Amino acid sequence: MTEFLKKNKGKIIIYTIIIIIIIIYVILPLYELVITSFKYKIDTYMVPKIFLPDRFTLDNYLHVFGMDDIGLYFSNSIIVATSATIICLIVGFLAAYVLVRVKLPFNLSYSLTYWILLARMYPTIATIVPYFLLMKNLGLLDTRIALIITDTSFNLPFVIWLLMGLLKELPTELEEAARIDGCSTWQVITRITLPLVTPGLISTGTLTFIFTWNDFIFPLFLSSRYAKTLAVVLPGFLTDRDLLWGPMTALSTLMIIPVLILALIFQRYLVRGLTMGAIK
Amino acid sequence: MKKGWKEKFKTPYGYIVYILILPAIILLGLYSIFPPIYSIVMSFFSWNMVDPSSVPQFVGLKNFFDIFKDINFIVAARNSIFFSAVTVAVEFVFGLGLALLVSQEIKGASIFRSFLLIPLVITPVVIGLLWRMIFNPSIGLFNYLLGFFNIPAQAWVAEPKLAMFAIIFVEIWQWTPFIMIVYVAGLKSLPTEPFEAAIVDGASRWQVFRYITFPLLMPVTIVILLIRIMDSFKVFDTIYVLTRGGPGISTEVFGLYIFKQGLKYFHVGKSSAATIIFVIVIFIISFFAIRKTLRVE
Repeated sequence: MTEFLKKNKGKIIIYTIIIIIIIIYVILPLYELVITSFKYKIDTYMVPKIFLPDRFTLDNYLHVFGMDDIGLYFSNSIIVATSATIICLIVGFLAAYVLVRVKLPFNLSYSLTYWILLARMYPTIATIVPYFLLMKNLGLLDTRIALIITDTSFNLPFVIWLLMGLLKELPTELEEAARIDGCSTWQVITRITLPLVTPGLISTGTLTFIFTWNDFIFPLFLSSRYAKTLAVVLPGFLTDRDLLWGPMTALSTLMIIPVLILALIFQRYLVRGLTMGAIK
Repeated sequence: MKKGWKEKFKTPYGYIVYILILPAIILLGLYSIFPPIYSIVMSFFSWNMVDPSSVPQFVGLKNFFDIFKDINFIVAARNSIFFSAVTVAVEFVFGLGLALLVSQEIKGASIFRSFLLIPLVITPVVIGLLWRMIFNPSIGLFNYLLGFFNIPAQAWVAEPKLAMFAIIFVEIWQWTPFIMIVYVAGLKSLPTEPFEAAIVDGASRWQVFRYITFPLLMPVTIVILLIRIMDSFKVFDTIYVLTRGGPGISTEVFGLYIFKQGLKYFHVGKSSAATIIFVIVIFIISFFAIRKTLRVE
C-alpha cells in the first residue's frame, strides 16, 4: 500500500517539475523579449538587473511608432497576410473539393495530390532568383501584389492538403440529396458544403495568416521601400553602428501579439497543419 | 474521335470542375513548376544579373564543377548536414522522452499545448534576433545564467564553433516542444491492451518501451522525422538574422549559400546549380515522406 502511494507521489513530483521546467523554457526568452522592450537603453547593459530593471519606460515603443513609414509597414503586413489568406482559402477550397469528390480522368486526382505534396516540400529559398526576375520583368518589384502572389502560391499546397483532409471527413449525403434534387455542382459547393466547412476554413485560414505574417524570405528580396513588411523591418534595428535592442524588442512584441492570440485559439488546428494531418 | 474526347473528360460533376481547379493549378505551377524549370535551365548558363554587360552564356556543366570545387559550397553542405543531424536527433530524443514522462497525466492539456506551440508560431525573425540578444556576450541572458554555474562568458555568435552551437540551440528550442506535442498525441492514441499484457507478464519499464511503445510509435515517428529533416535543411530566417552564416562561413547552410550566390553576388548560374542540388536532396527525402503520408490515407 505504502509502496503504491510512494510511486504515485513520485510521479506527481516528476510531472510537476517537468511542467515547470517546460514553462520556464518557453517563457523565459519571451519574458526577456518583453521586459527589454520596457527598459531604458542604458539599463539593457545593467546585466545584474536583467530580470527586473529599476525603472520602466515606453520610449522604445514611442521610437517604433515614430519611425518613418511604420504605419505603412504595419499595413503591408496586414494586407499581404489577409489577402494571401483569402485567396488561398478560395482557390484551395475549390481545388480541394474537386480533388476529394471528383474522380478525374487519366488518374489526375492521384497525380495532382502527389504534386501538391511535392510542392509543399519545395524549398522557398530555391524560388528567390526566378521570382526576383519574374517580378522585375513584370514591374512588380517592391509591390504588395508581388508579395501576395508569392505568399499565396507558397501557402497553397498546405491549404489544399488540409482542406482535403477536412472534406474527406464530411459526409456526402446532403450533397447527394441536393444533386438529386437538381442542384448544379456550383450550387452544391456554395450552399451545402461551404457552410459545413466554415469552421475548418477559419482554422486553416489562421494557419495561412500566421505563416504569411511571419514570412521573411519573400519580402526580403521582393521589397525595398514601399512593400516592406514588419518582418524585414526588424533586423534593421541591429546595424554595424548601433544595436537598438529596445526598439527591436518593442516592435517584436507588437508583432507577435496577433500571432500568439491566433495560436491560442486555434491550437488544435496548428498541430494538424504542421504535421500535414498526420496527427489529429 | 471527337465524341470520344468529350466522353473522356466528362465527370459526374460536370465540366465545371476543371474551371474550379484551374486557379490552383496555375498558382501551384507558379511555385513548383516555374522555379525548378528556371533553375534547371539557368544552371547551365553563366550570367551576372546586375552586370549590364553580362549576358547569359551557355557553359554546360561548368557551374556544377565550380560548385563542387567551391570551398563555400562544401562547407555549407557539411554545415547543413551537421545542423540537421544534431537538431533532429536531440529534438526527437528530448521530445519523446518528455512526452513519455508526461503523457500519463494530462490535465490542462490545452493550456499546456498552447505553451508548447509558442516557440513555433513566433516569427522566426523575432526568434533569431531575440536569441542574438540572449547570446550577446555582454548583456545576454545566456552568459548571465551561465555565470551561476561559474562558466565564463562566451562570445557565442562571434566564435565559429560556438556560433554553430548557438544556431543548433535555437532550432532545438523552437522544435522540441512540437515533437513533444506529436508524441503526446501519438501515445494517447495507442491501444492499451499490449501494455496491460506486458505489465501482467512482468516486463520492466525499459522492456515495455523498447518492445511495445517504440515499435507502435514507428509510423508517426517516420513521418514526422522525415518532415523535420526536410524542414531543418530548409532553415533560413533564423540563421540569417542570428549569424548571417558567420562568422566567416561557419554557420553557412545550404539556404544561405544559395541566397548569397543569387542575391548577393548575383551569379545566377551558380545559384541555380546549387539550387538544383539542394532540391534533389530535399526531393529524395520528401519522396519517402510522401510515400508514407499517402499510404496512411
